[in-house]
Amino acid sequence: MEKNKTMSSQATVIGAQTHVKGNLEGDEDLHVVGRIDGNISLTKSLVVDPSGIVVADVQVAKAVVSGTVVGNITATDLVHITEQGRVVGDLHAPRVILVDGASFRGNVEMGDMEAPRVAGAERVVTPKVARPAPASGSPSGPKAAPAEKPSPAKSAPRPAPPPKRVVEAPRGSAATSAKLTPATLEKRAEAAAQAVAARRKDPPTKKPDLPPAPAGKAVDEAGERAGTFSSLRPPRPPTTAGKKTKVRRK
Amino acid sequence: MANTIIGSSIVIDGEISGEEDLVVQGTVKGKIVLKQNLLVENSGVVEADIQTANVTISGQVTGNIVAGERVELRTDGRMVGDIKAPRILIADGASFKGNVDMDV
Amino acid sequence: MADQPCIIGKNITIRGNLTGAEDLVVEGRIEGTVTLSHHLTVQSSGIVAADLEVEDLTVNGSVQGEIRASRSVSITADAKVVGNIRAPRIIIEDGARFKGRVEMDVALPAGLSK
Repeated sequence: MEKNKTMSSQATVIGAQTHVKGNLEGDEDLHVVGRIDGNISLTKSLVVDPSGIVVADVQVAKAVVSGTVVGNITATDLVHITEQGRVVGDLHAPRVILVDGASFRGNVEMGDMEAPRVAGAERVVTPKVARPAPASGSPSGPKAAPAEKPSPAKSAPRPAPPPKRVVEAPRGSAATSAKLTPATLEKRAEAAAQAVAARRKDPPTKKPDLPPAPAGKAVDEAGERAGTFSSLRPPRPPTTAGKKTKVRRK
Repeated sequence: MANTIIGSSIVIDGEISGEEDLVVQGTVKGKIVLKQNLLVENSGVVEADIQTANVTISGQVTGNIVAGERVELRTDGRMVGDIKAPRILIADGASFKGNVDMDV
Repeated sequence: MADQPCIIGKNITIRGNLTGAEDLVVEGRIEGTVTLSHHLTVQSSGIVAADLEVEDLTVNGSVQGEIRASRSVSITADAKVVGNIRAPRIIIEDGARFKGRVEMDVALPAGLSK
């Protein structure tokens, strides 16, 4: 007697007046007209009706949301938020459909997605690496570079195009700028200046995270402080005024 | 007429509450509180305390039942737990172990 | 008033800040920022690595950057978008590739909050 029918013709229905609190898992479709709080794990589809409320992390093959979902949705096939759907949470699925009228707030991850390639534009494309205080006076501000890519989401509050490269160049003498030609440097300085101008026009809603001011050590020879907000400005010609620049900092 | 159906491959670990009928073909562990009817079908396995108006059991129930109207244990039904209800019907073939309290 | 929208052709690359008060169609490349009070369309050959602040955005090609639209953002099936989007209406078609955060106002039923 097969109790567990794999091809169950009827879906499980959580009726409009029913509230389930807890974990739900199964091998069939789930149709939520009522409310579920907890965790949902299905090998098939989750369908949330307009009246349905799901406050849960959801792991399914496919999710079609016409109601409310508060929680992260991980789908191996697809997440489809319809016109009446409202979702707050992250979506992880290879396919995502958001219909006109849907409401959604959260991150979307579709699997491996690299940034689109733009020739010569890596300064904009390369996501910014977090720049904590480069303490102990380590001369090399840039951390192991674009290998670690935080999401572009983080780039907004951070200082503009890779200042780490900008900082590297003016250090000491021109002799050290073996990696950068003056022309490239100039271009990047220009880009940085433009980014500043753009941000002045349209200030980002979040304040940039200023790394804590390193206690006086990180001033490299050029008088530039690696990894601080000052690197937004075009690089100043090298000065010896290490002490003076400290005063400016709050 | 049931509006909520827990299908046979579904396992719920938690509480179910509602104001409509519930049909359990799968597994429910925890607690069930309903205003209407609970039907545990052959494939249903309930390990929960149940509070409802009517319960009809053709599957397996482990837990205590408090029913406002009636509890029916059908032929295939197996129950371990206490029943408190004004009316109780245990069919021939059903198995039951527990206390019965019909005091209302 | 232009009869047709301004088109940035396939073999054109613009680096810098672009602003405008008319519709713009991008078939080439833009790097920098774009501020437009009208409709920006990135065609399938278009590659935009820029922060965008527009009224409407339709992406058929590649966009990377922060996206702010005062009216709508539409990401079609061939598109690839990496970045955060803030707009009152957002449409993502089946087949689109998108990675980033979406910020819309979501009216949740009473009692829920997140």
